[in-house]
Amino acid sequence: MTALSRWRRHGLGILGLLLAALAVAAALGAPLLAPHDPVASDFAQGLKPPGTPGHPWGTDQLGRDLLSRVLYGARVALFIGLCTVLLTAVVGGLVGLVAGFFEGWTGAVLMRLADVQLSFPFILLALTINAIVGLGLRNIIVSLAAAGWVVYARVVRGEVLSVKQREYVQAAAALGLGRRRILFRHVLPNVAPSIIIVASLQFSQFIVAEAAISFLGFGVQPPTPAWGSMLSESRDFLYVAWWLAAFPGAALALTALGINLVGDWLRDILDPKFRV
Amino acid sequence: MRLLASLAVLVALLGPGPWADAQDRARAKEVVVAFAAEPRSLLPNTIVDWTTNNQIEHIYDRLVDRDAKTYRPVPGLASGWKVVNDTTWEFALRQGVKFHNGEPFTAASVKATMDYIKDPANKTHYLPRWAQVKEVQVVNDSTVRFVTEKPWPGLIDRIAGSDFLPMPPKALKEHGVQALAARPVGTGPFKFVQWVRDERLVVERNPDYWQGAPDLSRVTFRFIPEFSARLAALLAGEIDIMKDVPPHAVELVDRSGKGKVRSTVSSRINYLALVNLKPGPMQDVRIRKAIHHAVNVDELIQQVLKGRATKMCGALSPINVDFSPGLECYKHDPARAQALLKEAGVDPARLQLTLDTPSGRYPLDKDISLAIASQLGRLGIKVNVVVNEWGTHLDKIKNRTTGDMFFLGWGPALDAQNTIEQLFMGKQTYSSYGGHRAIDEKIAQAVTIVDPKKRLEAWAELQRLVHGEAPWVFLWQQHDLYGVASWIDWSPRADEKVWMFEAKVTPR
Repeated sequence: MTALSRWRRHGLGILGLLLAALAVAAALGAPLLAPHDPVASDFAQGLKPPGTPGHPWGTDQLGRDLLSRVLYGARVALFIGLCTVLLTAVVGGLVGLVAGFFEGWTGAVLMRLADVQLSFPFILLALTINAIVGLGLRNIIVSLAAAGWVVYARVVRGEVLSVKQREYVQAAAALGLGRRRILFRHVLPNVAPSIIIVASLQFSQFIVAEAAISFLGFGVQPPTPAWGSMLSESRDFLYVAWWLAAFPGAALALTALGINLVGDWLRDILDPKFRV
Repeated sequence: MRLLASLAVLVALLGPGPWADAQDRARAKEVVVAFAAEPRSLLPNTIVDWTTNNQIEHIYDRLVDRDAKTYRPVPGLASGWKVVNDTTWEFALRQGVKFHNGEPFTAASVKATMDYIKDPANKTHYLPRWAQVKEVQVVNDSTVRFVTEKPWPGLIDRIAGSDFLPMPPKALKEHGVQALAARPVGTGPFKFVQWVRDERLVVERNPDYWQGAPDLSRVTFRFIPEFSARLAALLAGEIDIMKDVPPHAVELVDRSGKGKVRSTVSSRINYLALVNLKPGPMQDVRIRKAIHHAVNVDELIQQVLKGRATKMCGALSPINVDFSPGLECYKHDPARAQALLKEAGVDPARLQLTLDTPSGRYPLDKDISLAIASQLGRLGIKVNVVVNEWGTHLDKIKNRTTGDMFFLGWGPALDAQNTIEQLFMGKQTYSSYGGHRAIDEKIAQAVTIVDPKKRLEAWAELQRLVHGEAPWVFLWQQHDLYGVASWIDWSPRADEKVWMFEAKVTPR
């Protein structure tokens, strides 16, 4: 293996790991790292530029410390991303398993349902569901999950269809094992890598989607610091305070990039031939 | 994704567009005015909406106007008026005025306009606003009478504004309402040229205008919803006049060399409604007062609005013709607030309130709401701020589905009836407060008092009553900040009428 291909294989992955670790560290360490309470405003200190004593990244229009808000924003972003990914992986994975294993009308109904949902753009669907279930942290997770489970179902079903033709599954069936045992002991472990890969790729998509929804004024409500709503608020001040857009924007972009790189890397390691 | 899209829009606005260069425009006396929205219709007397009327009033005239300085009613298409008896007003009409299609303006136009409003098929918002007028009688070609059900001294305040813009009766009859909507025909200083949906409305000089031809040859209204984008366009020299320059960007505009910020103390008032029309803590006047004492209005004005607002202590501003001075402000007094809450049996640390706010409709509205939430937080009260899209916000107010508090602006607020009757009676569309028997009765009485002195006294008493009930956190009159290109001579008005007939191009 040449140095270049090794870098391709691992270097970007390590960069991704670093970026993702940084985001995780920011999220976990926010209470220790943040110099201020992210929602405490001090109107007299409004719109101070980065480098102001006490406010290394400056302050927003209400005098809230930007560094603290970006750090706490990482919490919101990763929390929403993680919850959504877990929820969709479990729900979508189960649907995919069932649909793949029990062909016939069960599988057909589930997959047509998925097809219908796939015909709507993801963000539009998430927004619509969000408009129905209402605002708030829990509801944005619910709406993202409700819009995002289909990808798992499709991928897992495809995998299951191919795995269940393999000899070891046929052997297990010939030995007279129960269907549930075959499904969870023999099929599931073999489709798990695909679930993990899809999850890692979906993770960053969910974070960006959450930011988009919060940017549009739905989703996470103020004063809770979320990157999307911080970006949205920054537009009004773009001419006088570039830092309000730059820092949350960079945090969002780098976190999404990091997680995506990790996802690509996992895909290469777990199965070089695998393509989502 | 959406961010990218809006950045792309911003970049596109900054780049050269299909719009003539500012210098060429100055030479040709063509001005581009940016509003946040396009007119919701070009039919006059149909939609109650500031942006819509501001554009329509370039084409149509008011029957009675307001003085640009004192805001008292002054002659428009009506050259004078008098009270014939308690229920009859007589208006003398200006003679020799012609509509853009050549039709003469006569008493028939006034009658046709009222008939248009009164026809339920036209679904105009102005129908309930003219409900008290029984009929319009044509006395002769240049005289009309408005006959009301009950004595209605406030008629002159209602008619002096966007509520009555005479329409051409012949065109209305021959071509119908839809044709007039597509191609408006008024008596105004500008004639309709073109309306490109979602993009621009163009009008050109009416050389035969009865007040003399306007200085500008052409006015283009462009629709740019976000004020950051409007600001970008102004700084790029693509537009010449914009409303609502953010207070923190005033210096930026003044130093840009492209234009200057002109400001005026507006008749539009901003308030925080403490909603008692639904169950909740705001039912208790002590809690409403406590909230008022807990909010530091001076701090909001100084720190968030950079001094660009004029504090109010009651429901009416001094610009209002029925304003009664002498009401004492609710002082910022956290200790008093604590004591009142204790008296009401409420622990501030366990009090959770919801505050609804629009975003971008009024100067820094969302930021003000967040700041108020943070001020109340100093007492331990937890305030959940809900940011609404503008249409949703209005719907919530109309349907009484807001939280315990909401932020709203109201204007042009030039007379008591339009504020006190509309906002403190529970049955009114935009009201947040009601159910006070004495206030309801006194309002019903005050609107029918003909004697000016007695009417003023009645409104003064109502202002005192309302003040004592703390139905709002009384905030301020907005300062309207307009960005105006340096080659245009135009001063903003407190009644928010942006009228390009009053604009001139300064020779350089």
